[in-house]
Amino acid sequence: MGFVAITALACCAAVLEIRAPQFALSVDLVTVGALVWAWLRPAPATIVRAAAVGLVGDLASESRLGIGMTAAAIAAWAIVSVRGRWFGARVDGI
Amino acid sequence: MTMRKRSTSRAGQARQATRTLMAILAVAGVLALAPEALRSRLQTSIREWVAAVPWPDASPVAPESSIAEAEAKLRRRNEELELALAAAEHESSAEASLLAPRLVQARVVGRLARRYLDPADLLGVGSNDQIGPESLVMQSDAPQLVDRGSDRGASEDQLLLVGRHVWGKIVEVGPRTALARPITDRRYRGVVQLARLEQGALRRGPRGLLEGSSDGTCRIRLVETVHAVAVDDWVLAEGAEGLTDLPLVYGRVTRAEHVAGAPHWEIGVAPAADQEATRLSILIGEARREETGWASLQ
Repeated sequence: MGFVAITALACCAAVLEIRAPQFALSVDLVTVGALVWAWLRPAPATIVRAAAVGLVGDLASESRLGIGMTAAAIAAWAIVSVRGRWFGARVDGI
Repeated sequence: MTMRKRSTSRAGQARQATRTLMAILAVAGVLALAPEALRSRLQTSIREWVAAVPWPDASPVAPESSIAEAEAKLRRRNEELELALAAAEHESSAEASLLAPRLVQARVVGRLARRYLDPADLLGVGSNDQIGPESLVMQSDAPQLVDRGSDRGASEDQLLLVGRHVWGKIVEVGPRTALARPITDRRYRGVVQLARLEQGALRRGPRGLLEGSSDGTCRIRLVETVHAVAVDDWVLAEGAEGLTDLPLVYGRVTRAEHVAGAPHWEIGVAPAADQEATRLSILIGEARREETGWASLQ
C-alpha cells in the first residue's frame, strides 16, 4: 500500500515537474520524503519505495535511466542500516 | 537468550535489506546499460505523453530578472514598432521616391584578420607607398575596418546599420575595404533629430549634433534650450529623408540637463545599435531611373 501511494505521489510530482517548471524539484522532494520514511520506519520495503521514486524521477527527467534509482536506493539502504544498527531501531520485514 | 534472538533477527533483517538493495541495483544496472535509443525513446515518450495532458497554465515561469529583461526588451521593440508605424504613416506616400535604398552587407574585420589583407585593398595604395594594412588602421582614428569598399558602392559618410539602428559611418574607403567610425567614437559627428511619439504620431523635434563619448555612449550638442527635450526621446538620423521612409534610430535620450545660463541642452544618448556587432549593413542610395522616368529624360 505504501509502495503504491508513494509511487503515485512521485508520478504526480513528475507530471507537475514536466508541465510546470516552477515545480522543478517536486520528484526530489518526494524522494526526500521516501528517505525520511526510511528513517522513521526502517525496513527493506522502504528501500524499494525510494528506488521506485528514483526511477520515476529518472523517467521524468533527462538523466540516465537507473542513476536516480540507484542513488535513492543506496541512500535508503544506508539510512535503514544506520538506523537499525547504530540506533537499535526495530527493522520491519517486507 | 532473548538478546541473542533479537541480534540474530536484526542481522537477518540487515541481510534482507542488503539483498533488496542488490536486487534494485541489478535492475538499475540493466536500465542504465540498456541501449541509448531505447532509454531515450522511453523517456521521450513519457515526457510527450505527460506534455499532452491538458494543463491550466503550462507557460514556464522564468526567473524574475529574466522576466524583467524580457519585458524591457519587448517594451523597446513595441516602442520601436510604434515609431516605425507612426513614421511610415506620416511620411510614406504612394509615389515612388527618386531614391531607393540598397543595403550592402558588411563585416567588421578584426585586428588579427587585418594582417592578411593586401595593402592595396585598403585605400588603393601600393606597397611602394611604404604603407601596410596595420599601419594604416593604427594611424587612423577610425578603429574599425569593414570588408566592403568602393567596389561594392561604399563611399564616405555612408551610414552603417545594424537593423534600423545606426552603428556608425564610413570615413575612408578603399577598393575593397573601408574604415568605419562607430557612433560611440569620440570623433564621430552626425546630425540628428530628436523625435517623440505623441498619441501614436511621430513628432519631430529639434536638430542637433551627435558625437561619441569615450564611455560607450553619445551626447548631443547644439540643441537650444528653447526646444523641449525629455528623457526617452528618440534620436533619429537626419538627412535620410527621401532615401528611406522609416526612421534610422541612433538611440534614446537618457539625460537632458539644462545648465543655468547655458544656451544649449546637455543631452546624453544611449546607442540603440549593438556596438559589439560584427555584421553591418551599408546604406547606399540609388536613383530609381526607370520608375521616375529619369532615364527617358536623359
